[in-house]
Amino acid sequence: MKNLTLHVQCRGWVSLCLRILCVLRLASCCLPTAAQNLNATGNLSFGTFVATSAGTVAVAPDGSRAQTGGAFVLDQGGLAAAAQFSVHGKANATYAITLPADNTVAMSDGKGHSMTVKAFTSNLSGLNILSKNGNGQFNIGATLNVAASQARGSYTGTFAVIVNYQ
Amino acid sequence: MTQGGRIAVRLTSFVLGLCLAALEGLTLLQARAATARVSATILAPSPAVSVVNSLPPEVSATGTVLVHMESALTAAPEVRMAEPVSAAEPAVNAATMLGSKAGDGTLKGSGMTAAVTAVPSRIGPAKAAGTDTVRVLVEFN
Amino acid sequence: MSTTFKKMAFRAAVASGVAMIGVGAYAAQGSSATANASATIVNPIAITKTSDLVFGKLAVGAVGGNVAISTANVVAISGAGTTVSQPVGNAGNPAAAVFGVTGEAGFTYAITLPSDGAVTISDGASHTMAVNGFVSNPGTTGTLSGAGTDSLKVGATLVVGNNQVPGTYTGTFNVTVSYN
Repeated sequence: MKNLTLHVQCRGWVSLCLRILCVLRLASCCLPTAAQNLNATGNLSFGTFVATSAGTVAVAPDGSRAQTGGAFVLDQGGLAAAAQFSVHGKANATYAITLPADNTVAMSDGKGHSMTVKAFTSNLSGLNILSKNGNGQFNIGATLNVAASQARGSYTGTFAVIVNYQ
Repeated sequence: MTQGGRIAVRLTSFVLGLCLAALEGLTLLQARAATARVSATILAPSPAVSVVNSLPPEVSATGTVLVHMESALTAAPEVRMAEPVSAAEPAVNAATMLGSKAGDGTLKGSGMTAAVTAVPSRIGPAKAAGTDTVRVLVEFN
Repeated sequence: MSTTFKKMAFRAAVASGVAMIGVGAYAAQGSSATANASATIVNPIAITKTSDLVFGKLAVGAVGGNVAISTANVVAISGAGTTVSQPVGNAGNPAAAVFGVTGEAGFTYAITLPSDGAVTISDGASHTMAVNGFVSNPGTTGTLSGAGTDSLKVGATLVVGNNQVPGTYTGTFNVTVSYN
């Protein structure tokens, strides 16, 4: 069966019905149909720090760093950086992002030691609208949980961001 | 949020941003300190030396220079004699000073008498007798 | 709108929906991307004392003076008309203080010494002498070796007063280190 698309005027209760079917993935919505392209263009780095007792290291979307407790950030060694993403889709479309929930992302040193990441934040606020060329960009920061006696080493991990048209 | 509310939030953030920027130089550092002792021992005042006797003005004479040291001592350090360095008469090449073993050592009471033996040796033609100077250096050992 | 139209439109919508399910192809509604995260934890900096600051034995008469010990353990006595002297051959082993610093290999650290007027030594009977002019080697910044260690030497200048009362004088001082 070939793909059957039906252009229906998206107004009134028809539109509402279609939106319900759209959420249920049963109908092609009267929303921009072009897929978004989301790419990570810069990785998240908490940089270099000392862990003398439990604490946190937070990287803000603007790349600045904050420490609490027994974590002391250093400017020597690797520097901190917020993750950067670029999104491309339909011109002037409104979009929203979904970030990982607290403590669902972990970083490991490959030797049995790990740290969890929480409080993912972005520099987006209000309405996020792609440009007339369909482009958008945003930064992601997060907070790293450092345990007492956290082992010295290089820790890495990955996290996913989802973008949806609104 | 109302328009006024948004403006208030933005203004507060801006002011807070300025405050935080001003405080930026006060980042907490991980610092460590260690403590060491300091010590010094003050000995009695430097000894004052006075010559009690002089060598007889004779060639190849053996004499005794008595050195008397006075000081208010609380400790009993050792003393040593340094080599003399003077020779007023060219005929007198060198005077060898022998430190007196009896004198070296302990300062007793308020002073000490050290016996110093000097033996001038003559290597040139005979000259008229003159006065030579022998310097005695006394210091804590 | 008329009831008939509504019914038609509804059926059309359902039909389109069924067709969609049948083919299984409809426009994607969300995209996902993965980014890497990294962090590096390094050794904390630490400092321990290896040996103390020792000025040794000094004699002084009516005029005091300054006795400086360099980080190379060289003693220099100064001051106009000073009567301060140090016995030769039995000086009491004057030496600069030595500290061991440990931390992350290759990292640099800042050194903080006591200020002038902050340290005095006492004979325990109310007689004191000031210790000023603290100097160190390295100076204000040190670099940890490939083994993550460094040796820090600290000298200073002792101010001996006129007719300083004889005795054994002692005191303490702190040295602080922190990563740059």
